[in-house]
Amino acid sequence: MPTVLHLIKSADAALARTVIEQHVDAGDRVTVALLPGGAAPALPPGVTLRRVGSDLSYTQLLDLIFQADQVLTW
Amino acid sequence: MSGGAGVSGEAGSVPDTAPVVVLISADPRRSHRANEAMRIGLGVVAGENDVTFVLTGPGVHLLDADTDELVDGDDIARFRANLRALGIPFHVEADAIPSDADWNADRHEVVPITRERIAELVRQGRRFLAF
Repeated sequence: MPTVLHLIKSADAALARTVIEQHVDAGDRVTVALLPGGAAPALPPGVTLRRVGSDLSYTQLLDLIFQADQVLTW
Repeated sequence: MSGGAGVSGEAGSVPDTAPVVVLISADPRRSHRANEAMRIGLGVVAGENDVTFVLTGPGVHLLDADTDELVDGDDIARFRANLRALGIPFHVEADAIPSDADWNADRHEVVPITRERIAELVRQGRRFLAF
C-alpha cells in the first residue's frame, strides 16, 4: 500500500481534493499536512489530517516526507 | 516554500517511464510564475523526459493571442513556439477554456480534459510540478 503525503499551502485545494479521493479509492494510505495559510478541503474518510505548527512540528513533517512514497505539494 | 513550485517525490508504485506533470494555474497576466513554469517544463523536456503540460484556471491564458497583455509575453510566445515545434500539446481544463475567439490563435494542439482527468494525470505522473 503506497503512502502518499499531500502538503497543502494554498487556499484553493479543490484539485488536491480530487487527487486525494483518487488516491484513497486506489487504496493508498494518504496523509494531508496543512501548512500555515493552507485551507483544508473536506477530506474523504480514512485520510489523516495534520496541521503543521499545531499538531505537527517541522521535524515531524520532515519524517513524513521521507517516509512517503510520493509527496505532492499544492 | 511559499511562492515556489510544488514538486512531488517519486511514488514507489509509479513506473520510471511515467511522464512528469507540469500543472500551471498561475495567471500569466499577473505573475511571472506561469512563464517560469513553462520554461522549466521545457527544460525538463530537453532532458528527454516525457512531460505533460496541464493548464488550469487562469493558467489557460498562456495561450492568449495577445502576448503584450501577458507578463513576460515575449518569452511566453517563444516557449510556446518551441513546445509546438516539438509536438507537445497542452492539456487544458475544459471548464476554463475562454470563449474568446482569439484564444489559442496559433492553433497549438490542445487536449480539453476534466478536473477528474487532471487528477488522474497528477496521480499517475512520475514527478509533479505545480505552479
